Amino acid sequence: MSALQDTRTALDALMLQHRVEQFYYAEAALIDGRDFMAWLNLFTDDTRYLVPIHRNTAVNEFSDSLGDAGLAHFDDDKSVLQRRVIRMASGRAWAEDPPSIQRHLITNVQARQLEGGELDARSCFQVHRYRLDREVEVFTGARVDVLRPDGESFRIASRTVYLDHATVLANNLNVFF
Amino acid sequence: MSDMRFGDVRSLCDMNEGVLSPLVFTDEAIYQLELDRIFGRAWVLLCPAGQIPAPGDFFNTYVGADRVIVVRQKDGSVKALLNQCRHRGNELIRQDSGNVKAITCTYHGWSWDTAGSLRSVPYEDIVFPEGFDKSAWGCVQMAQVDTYKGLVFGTWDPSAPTLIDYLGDAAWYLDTPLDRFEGGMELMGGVNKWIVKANWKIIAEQFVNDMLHPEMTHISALIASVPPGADMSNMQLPVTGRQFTSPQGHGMGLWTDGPILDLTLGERVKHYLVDDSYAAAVARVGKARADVQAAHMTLFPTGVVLFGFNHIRVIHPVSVDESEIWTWQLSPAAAPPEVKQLWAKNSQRAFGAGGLFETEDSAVWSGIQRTMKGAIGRRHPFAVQMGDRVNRGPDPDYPGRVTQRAYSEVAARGFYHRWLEMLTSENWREMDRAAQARYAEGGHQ
Ligand code: FES
Ligand SMILES: [Fe+2]
Repeated sequence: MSALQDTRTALDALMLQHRVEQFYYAEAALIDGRDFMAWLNLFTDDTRYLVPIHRNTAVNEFSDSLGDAGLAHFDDDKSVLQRRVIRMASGRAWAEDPPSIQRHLITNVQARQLEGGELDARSCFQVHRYRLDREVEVFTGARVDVLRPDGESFRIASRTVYLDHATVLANNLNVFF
Repeated sequence: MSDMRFGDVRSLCDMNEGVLSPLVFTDEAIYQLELDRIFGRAWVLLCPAGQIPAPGDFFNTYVGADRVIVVRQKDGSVKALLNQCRHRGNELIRQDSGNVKAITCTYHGWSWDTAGSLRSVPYEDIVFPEGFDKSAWGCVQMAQVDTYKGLVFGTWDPSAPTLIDYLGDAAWYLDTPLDRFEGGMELMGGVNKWIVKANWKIIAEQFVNDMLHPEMTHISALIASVPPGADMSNMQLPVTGRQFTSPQGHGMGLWTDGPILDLTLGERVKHYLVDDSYAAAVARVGKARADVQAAHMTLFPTGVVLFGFNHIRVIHPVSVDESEIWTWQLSPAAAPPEVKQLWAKNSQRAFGAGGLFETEDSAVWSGIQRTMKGAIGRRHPFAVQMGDRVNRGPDPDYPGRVTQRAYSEVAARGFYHRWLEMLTSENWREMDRAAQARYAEGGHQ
């Protein structure tokens, strides 16, 4: 392999990393800006949005314990995700009226090209949610996505969200991750 | 109010008049009394039996604020052990669930078998030169543990009535979610747990009593669930149903009609419930129970069952103003796999920490708790007065004390009647006498 090719490969990897990170930052801005309809459009029509439930296990079971409770907070196709967005946009979702102030911090982004053109993209998040006078809740976790190229950008063909809590330490999960 | 005496408690809860003081949700002394006299005596829902199928399987839970290990025995029976070392109190098991042969303390290594008998003490000969009677130091355990159609319950009180007597007429209703389908119900995965910043009774009361709130509280989820283009004017919640209350404080509201299952579970699951499985269900549990589509129920104090959605839950008190809700999902074991899965998924989408419907409930519950922080917000009683105040006689189809509408507060009054009786009675005979008096002819409800 020539030096030029090496440089090109490295540049491609850098560009890919950059594009995926920018995609995630833009996505976070849509959620924090409560533009949920636009956020929904980032998902493919055949998407699956999964937030499995974690369980406290013995150490030797730990590797499979992330999400092994066999039950999910969210296990949605696009139509269910759409219902959640419609609910939020209805103006009558009292738990989000007044709206909570959310900040999605996205980090630890790793992207890898899969056969067939899709990407395996992983990221970590911390979501800070402030509501009413003094309600503060913090969610942390990891996301494993399959991103499908769409022009210069991507769509999310599947997302699995691993919350770092076995018990949800919040009044509700009115949050998109 | 920190020196709470029974006379004071009685003045806070008058269910003949239907008035309830906010203090029952905020007072620390009342909360401590509840842990002792209610959670220390009542039959409390522990878990579905499917959570611990094999010998040695355990499930780590709470009864009131006490940690309890529910563990399957070699002979198939179930024991419930206090999760506390008898030596110096260390937690014995910290995992949520799993399988054990022995239960060994991580402090000094004392070790119990799954029946709770102390089996070994490290260096026993050296540390007890004069000998030690291990048989006197078994795990503290619940006095009675029993199962009703796949749900495991326990009580610390050896003098408590049997489980079936404790359930009373509620058992008949429970057969709808638990025994309607040939082959019984199957546990679908683990436990959905979340916290709610509200006193446990605020939550338990909704499930014992409140069929009225969905149209207001859950309007956003109803809007989101209506198929595009559907006529919202047909989407009123139904009025056909019943509310049930019982001397034991259990209660429920049921619907025999209405759009709620179409909107939440979807056509395929509803079709399975009201068509595919209907004839067999009528043969099995009779028409009255086969006709029940959706219902909410609280088994006093903290067991919750959502009929139609196949949810089993328990509300754990964490402190006077905080609770944890744990939810299990069941599906009919004999249903086609795709129906089973869809049922579980759609139920979870409606109810739970992330449920389209329930996220609104937890906001209301914590909102109620917030209004009771000040002296004035605790001074003025709440009205618990809807529905018939005197009993109108038996229902031809449904046993126990029932009203002809699902919308009523008779079940809330029954719940708080029992709450007060249990808090203030020395023994079960006293509780029963009090319940008999209010169930006598002309008694308030
Ligand atoms: S505290 Fe458990 S063995 Fe000492
Ligand atoms: Fe509700």
